[in-house]
Amino acid sequence: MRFSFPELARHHVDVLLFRGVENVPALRSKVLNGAVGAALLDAGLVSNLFTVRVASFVAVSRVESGSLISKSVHHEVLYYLSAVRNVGRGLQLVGARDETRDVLIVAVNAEDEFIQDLRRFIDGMEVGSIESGLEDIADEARIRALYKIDDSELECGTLSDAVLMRMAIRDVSRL
Amino acid sequence: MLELESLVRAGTLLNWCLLIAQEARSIGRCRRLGIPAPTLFSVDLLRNRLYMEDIQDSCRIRDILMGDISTIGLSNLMITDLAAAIGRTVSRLHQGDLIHGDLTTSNMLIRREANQLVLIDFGLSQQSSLDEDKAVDLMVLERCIESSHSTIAQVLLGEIYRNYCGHDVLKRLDQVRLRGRKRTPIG
Repeated sequence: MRFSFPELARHHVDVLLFRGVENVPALRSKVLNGAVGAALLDAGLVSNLFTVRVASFVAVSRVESGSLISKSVHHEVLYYLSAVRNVGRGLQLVGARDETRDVLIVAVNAEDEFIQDLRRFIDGMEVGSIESGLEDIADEARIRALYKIDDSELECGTLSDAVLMRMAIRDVSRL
Repeated sequence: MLELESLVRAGTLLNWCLLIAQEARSIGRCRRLGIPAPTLFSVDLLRNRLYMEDIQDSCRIRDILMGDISTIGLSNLMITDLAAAIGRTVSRLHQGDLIHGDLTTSNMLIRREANQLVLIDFGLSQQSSLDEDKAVDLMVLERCIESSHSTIAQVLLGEIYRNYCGHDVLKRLDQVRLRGRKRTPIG
């Protein structure tokens, strides 16, 4: 799916969801080599699509204002989603690993041809309906462990609300 | 007087980033205590903005009590239910050592479907374990209720304090009340 933001109209974001991907290591090395400009996420750690929208919005805003904290807009998406202060650690926490099978791909300002190439390259099943796909794949236990979410917070909101809060507050959580 | 307030009044606080950082942290603490507050999406320190959830399908307790919303008719039961919810919520907040700073019925929403009380506007919020600060927090609410909802103030306050678990704070409140107007916050 493709979306953009009203105030940042000259940018667009593509999101793709794949299950049972067999060639994650090859995909990862393409990304790490810079041959492919995209963020590869462990889909089980993404509670819903809205968190990805927010992370993309923040990453693109930071590109516009020249205030990127990490190396690129795609690193920034991963970094924002990780809700930790250390960039390197953040990328490792939410990024797809070699063993990951369900992968969410976020590509900012990608050409249509790039998206088609990506689809051809990935050896896995693409999920058309990303929102419900993510619901099925989401691993609540891992998400709660990653973001350190306990029961009391879930009394006043959903899991993804708690994740959004962690992402938003990370930069101001220490005086 | 709360530290942040006095800094703002003295005009010495130049970096307004501190205020939104404080507001963001307070919302985080509030939610971790299990008290509903708007979900934050992003804290933009460069532009001094908070991006947050717009609480849909809700109305302010102030409006409910003033009968601006077409309700079935405010029964006593509904009023005491609302007051009890307020008392429990503020109690939980203070037990977590969080001071709202602007407790008014305009800053309390009822989310209709979930039937939840949601606190908003944490711009003057701070952390404090002092009975004095918690009592002052309650005093703001008391003043608001006495002026905006005077006809049912006694019923409301009675039920709020009945549901507030903090004997020492309520005792302190008795003293604060006697002091008069000296301890009002901004606004």
